[in-house]
Amino acid sequence: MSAELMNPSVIMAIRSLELRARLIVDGFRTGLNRSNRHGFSVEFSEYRQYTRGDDPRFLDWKLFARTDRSYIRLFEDETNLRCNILLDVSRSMTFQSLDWSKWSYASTLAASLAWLLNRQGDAVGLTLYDDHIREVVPARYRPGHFRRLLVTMERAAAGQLTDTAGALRDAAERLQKRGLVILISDLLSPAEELQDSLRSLRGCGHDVVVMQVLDPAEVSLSFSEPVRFEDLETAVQIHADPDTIRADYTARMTEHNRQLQQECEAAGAIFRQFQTDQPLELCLAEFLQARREFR
Amino acid sequence: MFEFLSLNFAVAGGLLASVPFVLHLLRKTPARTVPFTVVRFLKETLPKTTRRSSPEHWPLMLLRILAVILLGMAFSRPFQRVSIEQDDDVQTGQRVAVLIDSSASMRRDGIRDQVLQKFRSLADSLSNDDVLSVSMYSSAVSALISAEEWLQTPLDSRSALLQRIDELWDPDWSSTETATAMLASAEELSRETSGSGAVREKVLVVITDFQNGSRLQQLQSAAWPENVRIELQVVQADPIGNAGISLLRENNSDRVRITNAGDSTRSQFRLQPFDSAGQPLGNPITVDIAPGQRRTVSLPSTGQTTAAGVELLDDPHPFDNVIDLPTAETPVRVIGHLGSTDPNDSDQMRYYLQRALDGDETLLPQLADLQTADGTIVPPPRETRLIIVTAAPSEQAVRSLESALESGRNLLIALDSVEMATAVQQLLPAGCEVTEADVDDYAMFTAPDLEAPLLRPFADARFSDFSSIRIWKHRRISLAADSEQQLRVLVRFDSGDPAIVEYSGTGGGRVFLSMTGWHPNDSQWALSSRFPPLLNRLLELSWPNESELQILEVGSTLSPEDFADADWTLTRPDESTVSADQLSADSSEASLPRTLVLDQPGRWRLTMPASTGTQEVEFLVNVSAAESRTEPLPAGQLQALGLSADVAAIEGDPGSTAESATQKARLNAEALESRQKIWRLFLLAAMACLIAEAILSRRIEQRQSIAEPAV
Repeated sequence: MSAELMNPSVIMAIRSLELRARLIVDGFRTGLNRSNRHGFSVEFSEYRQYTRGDDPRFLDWKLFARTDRSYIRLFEDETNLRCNILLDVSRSMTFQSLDWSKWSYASTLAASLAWLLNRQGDAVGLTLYDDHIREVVPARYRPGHFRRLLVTMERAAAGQLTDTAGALRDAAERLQKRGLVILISDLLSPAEELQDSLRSLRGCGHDVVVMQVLDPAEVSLSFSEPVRFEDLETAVQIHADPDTIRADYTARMTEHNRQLQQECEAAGAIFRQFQTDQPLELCLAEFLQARREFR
Repeated sequence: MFEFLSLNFAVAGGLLASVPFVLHLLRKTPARTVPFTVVRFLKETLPKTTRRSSPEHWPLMLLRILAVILLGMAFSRPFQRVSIEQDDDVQTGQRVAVLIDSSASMRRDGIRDQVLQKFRSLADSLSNDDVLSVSMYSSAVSALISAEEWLQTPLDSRSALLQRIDELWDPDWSSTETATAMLASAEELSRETSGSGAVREKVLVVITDFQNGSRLQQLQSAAWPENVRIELQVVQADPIGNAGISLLRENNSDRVRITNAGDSTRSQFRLQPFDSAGQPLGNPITVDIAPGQRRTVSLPSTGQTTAAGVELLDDPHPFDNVIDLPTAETPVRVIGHLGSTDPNDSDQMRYYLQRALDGDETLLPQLADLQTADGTIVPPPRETRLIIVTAAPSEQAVRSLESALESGRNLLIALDSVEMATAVQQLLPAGCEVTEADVDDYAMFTAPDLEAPLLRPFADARFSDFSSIRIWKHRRISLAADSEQQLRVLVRFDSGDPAIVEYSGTGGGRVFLSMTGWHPNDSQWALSSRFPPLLNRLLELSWPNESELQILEVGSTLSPEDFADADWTLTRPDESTVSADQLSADSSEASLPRTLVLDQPGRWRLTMPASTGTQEVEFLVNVSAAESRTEPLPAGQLQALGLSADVAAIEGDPGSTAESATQKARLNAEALESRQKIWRLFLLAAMACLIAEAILSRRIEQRQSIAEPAV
């Protein structure tokens, strides 16, 4: 499967977020069982010829009167999964060492997940946050909802500071029905801040998947000469020689990520880390794997 | 090893070469600010020191140092001092061409001895293998001893040949065309192939006063043959300095311009007018002119007696101190007119005639009506030599015209109707008949006889087209069979009928008969650009002597046939004469225009027969004003014009021999540098270094940008 994965540079070169998401999901789904589950609900889907054993309540009598043939009316099965995606739009998400930023990668990931779930007939909601909740799209499953999610993400402006714990607390208060909560962020704030909010979310019965998106330069500090680093969110500046501090930096970053994973596991959430040079299909596979773990 | 003409640049290049080394040692504090996300994970380090013990990117540094050094060397004009290897097996004689200046400025005192002395010393330095030719030049080059003559002369007779120069070389009065003479001689020398073996070197020796007015500008644009070396030998007058005088003639008033040479020691001169016998007229006037300056002064009044010339006194060199003045004022040209007397009637030919003549500011013609408004005929004024008839005259007027023609006056008759032709029947060619022509749409002038004196100014192809003139109406003249030989058809209509004919009147005057008028009723002729020059030419033919008074320079050429048909005599200032017959006998090609060179300053007179006896045209020929600018040009002038020259030291110059030796060495070095052009190799090498540097630095930059993420 990995040989068929699409290079992220090819995907990210596409301007349309919707096209990116569809391309990733369609590519991802190729070869999987694509049968759509039909049930009987209020949302009409299509006709099927009547066969013995079918419930005669769903025969379309008007069609029978016109054509003298028996057809069963199929309806979209009612969904019972409600998925809410919490997407970080803070200024740190605009960092990029490749041709695309963490924000582009994260929003594509969110759109791909939304499209994947949408095609499965699940309701998807979206919450954008930085140091406060910027925008909320409630979880729905209806025609046009996916486009609304895309528009919300496309018009989102970069925010300022990050308060992921606050966003998680807000979600715990707001989401009444149980469902799946996907957190997509770089999660660079201290790991211990997440502990309480993750637990309260789990306490409400939500399944929580935490997806950390990092730039490769953030992981390996791949700068060659001394420069003045300026924090994107706080504008703090320090002089540093990357050659000198690289080992220390990577150690700190590894420790931070380890703590994050520990906190998530302690709270019953699933933690996955992605770098922006990884194929996005891999993220989807990781997501499905995480779903199976919940079951 | 290389030597350098401008060592300063090489030194500067060497010093500047250290700059890339120092720059590569220096490492500035990073001024670049990089945005980042987890600054809190970074440990602050102090900025690094600005100095390194070893240079960074040393191949790049070496390329930069090399480029700077090579550029410095290129600008320092390198050359290699090489000796010319001589092959003893072949003949190694020199081909020496000597050009001796013979312009008017060489007439100054002290110059002749120097010229002959320099020539003798040059001749003495020649070996038996050398080939010599000698020419002299002013406005033209003339050979004194040719190379063939030199080669044919036995060795023991060559000294006698050289002695001839003493007699043959004599300065004339012409201006100096040094560049033309040098280029012509050098070109001839360059093309020449030695008849008796190899020639080691071709040298052009120019013996001249190298005065400011030498006219060298042509050398700048011309390509000098590479195998010809110039040797300039400068002679100087004793005493130095000169002042000259030239005539300015503007609006019939005479003024003189006095030029004082830059090396002159005097600044005060006197102007003395003199009469035709050479006797002074009145007292001289004093003029102050600083050396190197010019001044224009009006001539002093000489009372009743007309000054024949003026002389500049107190100048040590008198060759350009005398000019002749015009002896007579130009008379007023009165043109008689017979026709409409209303000057403002634009339907009449007089209206256009008046306007065409008013525009002539050089001949200043005046139009005089010979008929008053009440029809009274007025006899033509005595000074009238041309009468223009534009309407049918009365019988009395026709008689008056006949007498005018008999007295040698010219007539222009423009026939505006058949009735007018009937009125002037006595003045028309015998046996002719005039009728009104049937013109379909319009007619045109064709076939102009450009050999005729009236139309000669239009001989140039740019002016000879008369077909643009549209003629609405014209008359048709039928000439008697025998009258064709007595008249000349100057222009025809496109139908083939004569349009303008010229013939002799009864008394010697010329009649120009036009078969159409120039007023709007007949044609567009008056609106044509051919009309005013045609009238002007008619005036010139009617007043030949005054109109041709000309002020010329020595060396100008004169074509006497522009003024007289066949029988003329030209009197030189020294009273010797040239006649048309003599010139015809001298001229080998009869078809070529016969011209004379005005080779003496003074008053030239062209005498020719006329109906009133003889007419005389006067030419005032002066020495060129450029000859008066006698201050010598700087020795490096030829180098400034792009030539290399071994310049001999100016005798009497305060510069020492050592200085001249240094200068000569410098000039030799310049010649070597100019010939070798090694600087081009250095420049190419520097460019190659810079290209390599650009490629290398680009690669390093790319490598760094790969290693360092773009944020």
